[in-house]
Amino acid sequence: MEKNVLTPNILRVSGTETNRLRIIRHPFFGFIIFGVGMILVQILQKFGVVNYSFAKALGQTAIYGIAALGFSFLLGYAGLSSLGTAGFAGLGAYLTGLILNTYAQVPYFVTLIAVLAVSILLGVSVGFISLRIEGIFLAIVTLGLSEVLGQVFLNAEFTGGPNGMRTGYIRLLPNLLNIRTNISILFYIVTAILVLLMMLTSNLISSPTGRAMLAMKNSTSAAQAMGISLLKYRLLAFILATAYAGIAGSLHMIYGQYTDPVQWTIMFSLNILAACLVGGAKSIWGILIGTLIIFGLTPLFFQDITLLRNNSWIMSVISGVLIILVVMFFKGGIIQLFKNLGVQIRIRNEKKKEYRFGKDE
Amino acid sequence: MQVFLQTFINSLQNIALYSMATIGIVLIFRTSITTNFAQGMMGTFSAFFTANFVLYHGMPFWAGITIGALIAFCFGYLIDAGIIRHGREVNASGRQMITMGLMMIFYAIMPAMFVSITTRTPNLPKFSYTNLEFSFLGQELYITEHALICLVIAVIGLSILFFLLKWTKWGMGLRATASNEVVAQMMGINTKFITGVTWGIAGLFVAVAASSTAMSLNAGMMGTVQIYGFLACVLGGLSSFGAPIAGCVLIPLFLNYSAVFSPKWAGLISFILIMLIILVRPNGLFGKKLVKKV
Repeated sequence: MEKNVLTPNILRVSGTETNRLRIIRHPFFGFIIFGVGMILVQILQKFGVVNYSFAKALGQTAIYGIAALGFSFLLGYAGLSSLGTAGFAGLGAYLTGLILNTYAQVPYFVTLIAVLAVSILLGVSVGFISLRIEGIFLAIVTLGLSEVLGQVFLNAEFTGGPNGMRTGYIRLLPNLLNIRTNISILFYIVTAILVLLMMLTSNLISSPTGRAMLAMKNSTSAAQAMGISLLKYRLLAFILATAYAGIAGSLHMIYGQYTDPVQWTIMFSLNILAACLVGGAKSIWGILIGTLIIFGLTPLFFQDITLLRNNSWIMSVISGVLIILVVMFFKGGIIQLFKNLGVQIRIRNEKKKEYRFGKDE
Repeated sequence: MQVFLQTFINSLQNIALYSMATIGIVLIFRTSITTNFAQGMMGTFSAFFTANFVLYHGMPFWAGITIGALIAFCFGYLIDAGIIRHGREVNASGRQMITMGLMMIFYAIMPAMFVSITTRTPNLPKFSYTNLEFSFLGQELYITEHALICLVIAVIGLSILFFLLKWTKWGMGLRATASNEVVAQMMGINTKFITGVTWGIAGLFVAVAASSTAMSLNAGMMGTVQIYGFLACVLGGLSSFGAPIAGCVLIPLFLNYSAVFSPKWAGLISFILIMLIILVRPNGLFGKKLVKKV
C-alpha cells in the first residue's frame, strides 16, 4: 500500500499494464477461456442456435480429450509406448456402471474416487512391468492387457456382455442434484473436469517432474546418470495415464449412460495415439486439436453433409489418409503449423518495424 | 488322454494360421522397424477377393487362394513403395501410426468394395469338408482334412521362406537390411527392392492364412489373430526370424488347453501365462538382449 503511494504515476500505470498482460499470458487464461467457450456452446444450444447433437458430440469429444491428455504423459514426455488406453478407460466405465447400479445412493464423486483408486493400482502394476519390458514390446504387452480386460468386459456376469451396460440415475452429491438425463449439467461437469485436468497437466509438465520425464524420454541412461529415478517417473507417468483414462471412461459412462465392449477395442487405443500424434504430443492445445480431428470431425461436422452421412466409409478413408499425411509430413503435429505461423508473423512484424523506424544499432 | 491328444490335434490348424499370419509381422518388424497393424487387414482384403472369385465366379478354391495371395503380394509391394518407404525419418510411434492409418483405410474400403459379401457375410470355403479318423496310442482321434492341408501349406511355405533367407542372395540382403539399413545400402544392396518384396511376402503369407480360416467373412475377422500374432512375437523373441514361430506354436496350445478347463476364460488364462513368461524373460523365450552403446 505504502509502495503504491510512493511510486510515480507513470510507473504505476505501466505496472498495471504488465499485470494485465501477465494475466493474459498466464497459461491458465487460455484454458479458462476455452472452458467458458465450451459452456457458451451449451447455453447457445439451450436457445436453439446450436444443434443438440453438436453440443452432445462436443462433450463426448472433450471426454476423449481427457484420455488423450493422460496418454500424452506417456508418449510425449516419458517416451513410453502403450496401447492399453482402451482397457484402462473401459475399466473406469464399467466400474462406474457397476457402483452406480449396485449402490444407487452413492454420490457420483465417491464413485469417481473409487475409479481413481483402481486406476492408480492398475497404473502401478503396469509401471512395474514397464521397468522390465521396453519399446515396442511394452506396447504389445499393454495391448494384450487391454484385450484381456476387453474379454472380461465381454464375459463377466456384471457387465451385460455384448449387450452392454446401462446406468440410469446419477446422484451428484448426497441428497442433492439427482440427474437422470440432463445432458447439460453433465456437460458442465465434463468441461470443468477437462479444464482442471488441463491446468494440472500444464503445471506438471512445466515442473521438475515434466523435465525429468523429458530427460528420461531422450535417454534413459543419461537421465539415470543425472540422478533421475526411472522407477519413480515411469510409475508416475503410468499412474497419470491410467488415472486420466479412468476418469475419461467414468465420464463416458455417465455422459452416454451406456457402454459396451465394442467401444473399448484396440481401435480406441490407436485413435488416442493418433490424436496425440496428429495434434502434437507435447502441447496441450495440440492434443485437443488432435482429439477434435480424430474423434470430433465425424459427429460434429461431417454428419451434416448428406453424401458423407450415407457413405460413412468415406469419412474413415479421409481420417486414415489425414493421419498418414500428417504423420509423414508434419513432424510436430498440427500445432507445429501454428507455431511456425507465429514465428513467421513475428519475423514479418520485425521487418516492418525495421522498415519504419530503421535498424536498432 | 483322448482329450489331451484331440486338443493338440485341434490346435494344429490355428498353429498353421498363426504362423503364417505372424511371419509377416516379424519380417516387417525386422526390415521396416514397425509393428504392422495393417497386417490382418491385408490378409482380410485378399480373403475378400478370394471369396469373391470362389463363391460368386465359380473358381476352384486353390486357384482363388493363389490369385488372392498374388494380389496381396502386389498390394504389399505397393504399400511399401508408395508410403512406408517415404516415412523413413518418422519415429517409431509415427510409423505405427502410418500402418494404423492404412488399417483404417482398408477397413473402410473393404465393405464398400464388396457389397455382395458384406450383405450376406458368407463363410469362407474350405479345401475339403471331410474328417480323417485314425487311432493313435489306442485312442480314437480325428482331424479335419482342411486343417491338415493348411498345416502342410504352412510348413512348406515357411520352409521355402527360411531356405530363401538362409541360402539366397536375396535372403542375405534382407538379413543385412534388417541389421543395419544404411550400411546395407552402402554395400550395394538394393534395400528398396528388399523391403518391398518383404512387404509383398508378408502380404502373401497373411493372405493365405486369412483365406483358409474358414471363418465367417467380415472386415474385422483377423483382429484377434493379429493381436495373438504380436503376442507370439514377444513370447518367442524378435531377435531372429524363427523364434516367433515358437510363440505361434505355444499360443494356440495355451488357448486350446485352457479352453478345456474353462472355455469362457481361455483368453485370460493364456494371457496370464504369456505375461508370466515375458516377465521372466523380457526378450522372449529365444531372444537376446540388444546391447546399446551409450
